[in-house]
Amino acid sequence: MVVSQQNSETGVTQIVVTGNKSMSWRANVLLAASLGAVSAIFGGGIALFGFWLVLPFAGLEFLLVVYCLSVAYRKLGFTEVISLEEAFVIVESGYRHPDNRVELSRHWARLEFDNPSSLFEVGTLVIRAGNRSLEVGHLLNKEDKIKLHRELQLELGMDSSTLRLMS
Amino acid sequence: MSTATAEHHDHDDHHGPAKGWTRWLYTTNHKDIGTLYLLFSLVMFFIGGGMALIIRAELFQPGLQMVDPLFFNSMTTMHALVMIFGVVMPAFVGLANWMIPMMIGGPDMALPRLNNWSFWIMPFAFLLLLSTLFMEGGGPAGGWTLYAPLSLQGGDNLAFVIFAIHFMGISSVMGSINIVATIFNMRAPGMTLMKMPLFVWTWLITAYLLIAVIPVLAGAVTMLLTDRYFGTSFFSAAGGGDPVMFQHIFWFFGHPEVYILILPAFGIISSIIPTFARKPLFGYASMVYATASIAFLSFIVWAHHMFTVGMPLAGEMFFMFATMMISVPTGVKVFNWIATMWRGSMTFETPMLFAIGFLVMFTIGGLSGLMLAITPADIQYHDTYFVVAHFHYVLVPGAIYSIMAATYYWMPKWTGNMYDEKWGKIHFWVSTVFLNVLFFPMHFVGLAGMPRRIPDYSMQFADWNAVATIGAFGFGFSQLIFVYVVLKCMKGGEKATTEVWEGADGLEWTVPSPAPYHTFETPPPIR
Repeated sequence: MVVSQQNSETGVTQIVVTGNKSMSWRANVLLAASLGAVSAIFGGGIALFGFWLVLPFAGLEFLLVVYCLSVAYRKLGFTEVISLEEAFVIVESGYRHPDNRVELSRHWARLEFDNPSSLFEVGTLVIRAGNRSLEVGHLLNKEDKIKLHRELQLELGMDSSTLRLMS
Repeated sequence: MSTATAEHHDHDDHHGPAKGWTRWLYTTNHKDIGTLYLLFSLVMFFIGGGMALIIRAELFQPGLQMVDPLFFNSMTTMHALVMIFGVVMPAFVGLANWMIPMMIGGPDMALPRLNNWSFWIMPFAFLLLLSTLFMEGGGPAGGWTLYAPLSLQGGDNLAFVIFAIHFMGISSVMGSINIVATIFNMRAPGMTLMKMPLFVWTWLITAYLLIAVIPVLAGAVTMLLTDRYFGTSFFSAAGGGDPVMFQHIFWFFGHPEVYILILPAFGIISSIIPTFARKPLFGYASMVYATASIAFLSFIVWAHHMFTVGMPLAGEMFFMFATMMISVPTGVKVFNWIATMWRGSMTFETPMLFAIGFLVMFTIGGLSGLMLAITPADIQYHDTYFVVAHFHYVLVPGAIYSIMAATYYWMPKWTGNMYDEKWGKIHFWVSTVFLNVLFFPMHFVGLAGMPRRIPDYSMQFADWNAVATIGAFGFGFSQLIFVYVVLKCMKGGEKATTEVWEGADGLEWTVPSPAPYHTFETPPPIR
């Protein structure tokens, strides 16, 4: 998803690029707990008759469920915030918090987008400033990558003719 | 927080598929992995089918003609293990991989690398299992249920079989967790649970069942292993153990497993019938609740597989009535499918033919299941060919037909080409005729008392066994038509449109045909 917004305090335009999460962490915890509870009831019930070897497998499986759900949730939380300040283009990215921050000179910032014709490729969108470059919107499909490209073009004041000249 | 001067995110998923065989080894793309599962399942279908033909060839006439009894028993055991764990389950997982992300508007499975491991464990598991056929003493011959103490008295193949089952279980659990994580976390905005296609719902419930019961199977077979090699006595009466308890534990896994093999089929049929009836599915919500009810009931009916071992009358009554109760939600489903077709603008393309074949013949299997639920009757039918007829009517026109229906239905979306309709229809009719020639006579010989898992039998069963064997070879060879149609469709043919079918509804029909390597990396809007 690409959402463009203006910071009401600073007036800086921010483009937020994020994946889609359809369930909260709390709901994921409840899901893991429900799966674990069922396995524990079955394993525990059978163990009461002396056949305890089901329990370790149920435990291992529960750990795998928790690990997988947390990895899946974390992965889906990846967000990029592209702040277009007066002098800099700042790209912050990370999962829960901004783990990575890149500052590029807005004056020198140029966009490179290899919009591929192939059905199998979505292309890459790169902001380049001098010898520094950064790929943005890697989790987007082609349609949204084009949208992000257009928004950045507008904000950075590059029309399509400029881009044609550059390419 | 770190500041980088230059950064390129290294994500392979941006680009198209890698070239060469490594594409298939390292792929994390849900469509590639779906294809791998489906191809694996097809190969195993012919291996398991070959075993069935050996069984039927031996049973063509009374007496021992072709194979020795131990090998015959190995074939019945391996045929079941291969068909259940190597054909039906991987095929459904393959379909889930291909279709679930596209149906919910997700870009891929939630855990793509885990998905790759889930698949690649399978070939090793089956190599391990099939390798036992070449070992001293042959393969496992005590039946796929591995009942103690019989299974403990065989050769050293037991350890290999148990490790193979563990690998299959790990693969199933990883696949199931991935499916649950995907369905809950990666639905497009607006794709609420009650808007999900029935195929997604049925797979979600199937994945729950798998996660719930695989540890039970793993524990049961591990206890067999320790009884055999580490001196424990879980199932050895001589050491104070209880062999009947193995049956209880096994069927506590085994009966939900039966529904693991059929619930995704319900989802497939619920996708196909509305398309070719050109009407929305009748009673969507009731279908969801019926599926959940079947899943719940599957946990409390296990002992109907073992009425003959003896249990208190109250237990027999409970398991009999609980089993019969399953016919209520199943009846709801059958009713809804028929109501969907009622006054629909029906056409009979190959997927619809297979779906209707499923509906009619699965119901026959369901009815014989009801007969088997009746405790005093079951004591008569137990371990006869009537049981063989029952579960083959449920699994072949049920699970296998639904997989074939799904393949014909979604193949144009996968390949971008329409399959050969004429040969598809020929495949359906030839298969259906031979399937009934194969399995229907088993009801007769079963009711007349012919026991299952025997290489030789009394003369009175000879005629119907000969008929069944003709049916088996006819059905087996008619599956070559399926291979021909699939290969032809993969190679080329009339180009498929985006929607493919006039009455198709769902997100998967909004992406081009063939489906791009990456779909819905940004969630689509859901109305």
